[in-house]
Amino acid sequence: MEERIDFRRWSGPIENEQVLEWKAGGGRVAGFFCAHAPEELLWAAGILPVRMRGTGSEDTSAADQYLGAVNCSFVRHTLNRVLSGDLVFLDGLLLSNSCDHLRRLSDVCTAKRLAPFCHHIDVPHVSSDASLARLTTQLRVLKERLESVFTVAITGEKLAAAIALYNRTRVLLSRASRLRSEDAPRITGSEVLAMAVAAASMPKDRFNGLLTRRLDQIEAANGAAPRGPRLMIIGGELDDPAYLEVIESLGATIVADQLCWGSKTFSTLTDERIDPIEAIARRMLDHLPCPRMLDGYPRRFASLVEAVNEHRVDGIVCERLKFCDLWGGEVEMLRRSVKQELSVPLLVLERDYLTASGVGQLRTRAQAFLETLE
Amino acid sequence: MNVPNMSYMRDKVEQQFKPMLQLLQADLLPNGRLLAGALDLVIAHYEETFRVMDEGDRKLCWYEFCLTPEIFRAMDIHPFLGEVHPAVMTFGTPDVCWQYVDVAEEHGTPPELCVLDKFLLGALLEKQMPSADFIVTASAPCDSSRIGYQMFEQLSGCPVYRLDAPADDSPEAHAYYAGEIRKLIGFLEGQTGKRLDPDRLREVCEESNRATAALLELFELKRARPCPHPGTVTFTSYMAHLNSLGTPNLTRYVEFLRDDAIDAVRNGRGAVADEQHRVLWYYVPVVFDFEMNDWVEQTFNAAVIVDMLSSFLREDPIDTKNVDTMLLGLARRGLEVTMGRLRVSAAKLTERFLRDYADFGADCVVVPAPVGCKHVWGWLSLLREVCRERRIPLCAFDLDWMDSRVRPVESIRGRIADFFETVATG
Repeated sequence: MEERIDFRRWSGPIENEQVLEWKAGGGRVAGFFCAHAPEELLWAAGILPVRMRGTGSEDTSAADQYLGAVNCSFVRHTLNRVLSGDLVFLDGLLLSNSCDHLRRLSDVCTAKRLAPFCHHIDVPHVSSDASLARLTTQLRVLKERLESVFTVAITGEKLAAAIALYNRTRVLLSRASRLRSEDAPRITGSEVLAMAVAAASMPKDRFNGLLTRRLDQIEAANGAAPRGPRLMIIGGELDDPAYLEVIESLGATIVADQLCWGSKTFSTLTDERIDPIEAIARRMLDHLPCPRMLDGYPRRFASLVEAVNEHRVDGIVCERLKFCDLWGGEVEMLRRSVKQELSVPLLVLERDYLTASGVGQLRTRAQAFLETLE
Repeated sequence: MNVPNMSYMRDKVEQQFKPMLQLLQADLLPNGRLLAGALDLVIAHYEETFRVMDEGDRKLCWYEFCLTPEIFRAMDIHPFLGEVHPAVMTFGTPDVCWQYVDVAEEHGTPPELCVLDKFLLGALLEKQMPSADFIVTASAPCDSSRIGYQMFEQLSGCPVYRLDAPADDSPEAHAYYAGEIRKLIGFLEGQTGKRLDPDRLREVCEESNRATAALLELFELKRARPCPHPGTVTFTSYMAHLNSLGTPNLTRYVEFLRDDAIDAVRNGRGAVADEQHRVLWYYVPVVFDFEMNDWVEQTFNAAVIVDMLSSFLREDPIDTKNVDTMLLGLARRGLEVTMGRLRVSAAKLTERFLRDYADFGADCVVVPAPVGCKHVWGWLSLLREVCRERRIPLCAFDLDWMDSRVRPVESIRGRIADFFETVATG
């Protein structure tokens, strides 16, 4: 019997063996920070894009030289890892104005030259023809810089291949996602998150092979007996499957998500029929929007309602990092909208980036919430 | 009884501002002669706001940083800049801020949001915001405002128009933002049922240019030693002109200040009799301590030359040749409106800081860094490094610039006193 593939192996610190092996083979690696990033462009340049995480960080003392206590713990832990020299293998950092914390992280990385190649993208905050054109232009500039700095040619064929590869990942992750919402789920929510995190932490071709094998394993097996309330997890930066495991350990079944590391990364495909750079830009603006997008709330909430109904969700858990203004305000709007338009309870959890620092509180609050659902 | 919206401000204008104006006009309060015009403009703005709300003969637009009011004025829309309102309401009555911040937080707003957005949300819930016909917001300066205006939209039910404010400062970014303002005009035309008259826009922009030309001269005059005007006047006039750009009354006031400064410079008359230090006040004012600037100036002989917010109008005039050039000018000007300046990179912020430091002949810097401002806390360390390298004395401290419960006046003054003691002893 084939050994079970456990994606948590690649959801630990980003310097996993897949990344190091790529690097040892002469490959280049670039970090990026957000779901609104043009990953395919990096891959087409022969660069392995890895999404930055602070996993493995134990404190923020190095980062605290540059960022204040009101800057979020994800950004401080991640910067801490870079400043501590843990991520010296990075050839580049793709930075953006995803939020104010990341905007200033970008400034620190650029000012301190924390990677040989630093490039900042000004991702628009509304989705319109004009903002699409502006972002597309910026991606063309990025393409030219990548070609010039790394002496590579990013051809149309390479871009098309990269998009096809990344879309394949998205399709596979969507397939995994559906398995968690069955009546008798064959996969846990935490495993889906581990898969999504792993997908951003290794070459996609390798990942797709591994995920295909794992899905075949899962689909050949029977589902687990239904257990506990069916939850949907929403929120911002959450890259630690252990956080969801705590909730699942209390008897809940996580059947859906709207997380920056979860379904937001795979629920929308890049259009393979149009100009590839424009297609990448279009997806960056049009995938399920983060609260950073000024015009996104109606779509975010409509999507939430649809998911709650489709997956027969009993309760919604919203996690947000302390000092994240975007999710802080979003939560307040959600409270009102959920009360008015959905008969589903909502639990809001404020947290620090490191799960370990708040497990006790998480367990207590989640347990109390689950009791109200039973 | 049906209490009208903005009942608090209606009372405040009558019971606090108008009596104060009389005292200022009679020069019975410090700097009265210089401040009276600013308060007069603020009163006129609020009285027109109340009138428009009550009579409904014009549309009322609540707008945000990253725009100046010329475009609204040209379309006969009453402009109301939301972000000035909390400071005006808090002026002289700090507990008002506590009240609305508490309402917002009790409502579920996270305490770490910018105090402006918490205040506005609390005021909206308490019916202390104007009953606007529509809201116009931009994607700068910050996460707090980006989500704040989504919250205001949900609560108010008002139509909202959103402009995408680019985070860089290039000619391309300015052209992009001009395009955003062009689209805004379409929205405003839809709301008002009236077409924009380019000649009227030109008229308003030319009036606005007259005020900013005088303001630029005023900034030039502030380079003199001693500095002709106290910091309080700089800040107060800035508060007044945010809502009044494009009106003859503002132009007259700024020209009066300019003429007074010319006279002061000619006669060697400074705001501080024995000017020992020249302070660049680089970020927010302490709204709940209106006498802060006077205290700094009198206690340490340190003239507060200019602050980061009020220096936003040091831009070229709007080119009124045609609609395109006017929109480009409005775009450049709008993107610089106060907190909107924070949207750019830390390198750009530092570049501007060094320009201001040099231009105004400053010899020390005070940076009051609000606890709700993630931008400034991500920039401050880089700024510190630059100041250290250049031996620029820097006093930075955390505070909430409107909520005195976070760091009270005594603590702020103590921090500044310690700083000047250090600066004085070299």
